Amino acid sequence: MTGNEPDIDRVWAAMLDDPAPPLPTASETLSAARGAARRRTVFALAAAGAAGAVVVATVGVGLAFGNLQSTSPSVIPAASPPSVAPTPSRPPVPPPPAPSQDAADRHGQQNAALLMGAVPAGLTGLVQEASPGSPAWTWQLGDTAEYVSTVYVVLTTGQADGELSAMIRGGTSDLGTDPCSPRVTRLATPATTGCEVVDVDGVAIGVVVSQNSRGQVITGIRMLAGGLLVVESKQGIDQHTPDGSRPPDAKKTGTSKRDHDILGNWPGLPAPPLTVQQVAALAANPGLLP
Amino acid sequence: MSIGVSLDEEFVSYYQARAEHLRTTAYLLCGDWHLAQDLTQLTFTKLYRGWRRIERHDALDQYARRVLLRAYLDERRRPWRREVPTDTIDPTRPARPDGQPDDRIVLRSALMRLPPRQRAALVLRYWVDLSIEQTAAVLGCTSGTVKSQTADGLANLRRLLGGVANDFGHISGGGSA
Repeated sequence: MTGNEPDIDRVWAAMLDDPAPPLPTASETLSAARGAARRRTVFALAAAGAAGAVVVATVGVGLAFGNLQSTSPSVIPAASPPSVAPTPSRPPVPPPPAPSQDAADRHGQQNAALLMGAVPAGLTGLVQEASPGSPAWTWQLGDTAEYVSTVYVVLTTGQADGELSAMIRGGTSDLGTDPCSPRVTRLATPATTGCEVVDVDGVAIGVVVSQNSRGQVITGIRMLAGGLLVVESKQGIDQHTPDGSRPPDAKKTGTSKRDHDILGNWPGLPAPPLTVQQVAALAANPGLLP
Repeated sequence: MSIGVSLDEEFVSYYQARAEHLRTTAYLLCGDWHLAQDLTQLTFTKLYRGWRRIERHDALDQYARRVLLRAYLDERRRPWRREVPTDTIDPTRPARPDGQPDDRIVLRSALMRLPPRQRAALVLRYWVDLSIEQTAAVLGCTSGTVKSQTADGLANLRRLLGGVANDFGHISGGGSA
């Protein structure tokens, strides 16, 4: 506290006159943090073996976009090996530059619109705004130049929830050009195996099919010069507990209890909302970048 | 990260050193110990998730404050958090036998009635004792904005305190770094 404003100390003293409840122990907090991290952790289906590894092969962009708007929730195809299309002979598209943090944040509106446009018929999409009118959740990583800027759209049937997201990560150097390199997959998804590169109109997209606590997660990774673009299609939203993570459909009732009277907390959709092909096509969509 | 020291050990060590201070900061921002605990937990969860990627651990405090502030401001914006505390205190309510409002209640209520960013500016400047530049970095705004938020916050505090404000003659604008 500064000595320049001595009397404001009385405000702090008045506030702190209210006794604090015991602070959770470090192990309790660590356990909760681990649990939250675990819920975000996805395991490569390839590693699951018996569950059936999903091998992502080369796909064509036309096939992907053909399915994009027409999938109904009752017939959403599960992530499965896509039809193998001949590798296009188009010249590879060089990675576009990662935008600045501000540009990525401002571009959130357009990415929200693109994700909403990809919502399969029969599902309701809800953009999760970071603040009113601003759908991008943008974080600077420490005091570095690195940032992540993510737009989330929750997809719901009213009884089950899934999620689409598009994340731009920038200010990151030395990532190379391989979207399936261990360094890249470590940044984009905890699943470090099972990544396959597919070609979408000359754009190399790394695709990983993995699993969270509520089902499959399909991740599409596009390299940028100085960053990444990551699109995710989640069958279900990670399970939430009163550790600070709450589902977007949570509604707080009452004012004195703090035990999160969550409504919703629904199970996952029958399958990921977008297929492997659709995720790859969306990740290659230049409209996701400013 | 030091070789041989696990991520969890570092995390626990940081928690033990800084959790109480962060929670108190959160409490001064939101005025509710339970919500402050939620915000603190959320902050440490985010820190844990990003621990491996945080290269400058000497800047952890600044990063943690920024995460906490963001969590606090975001919480207030979320529809399921737009709640009115049932224990809102009327500063004019007599709370002492002599019919005078309890100064403590008046002081608490005045702080809680400030707009969130003004309150955050005051807490960061005068509780956490950050410079104007450091406060601007945490709030993600310019130094000029911090100065105006601080000055406005102090002015509002004086106005809200009414009769108690006589004792606050020393509270002045926030223009000095």
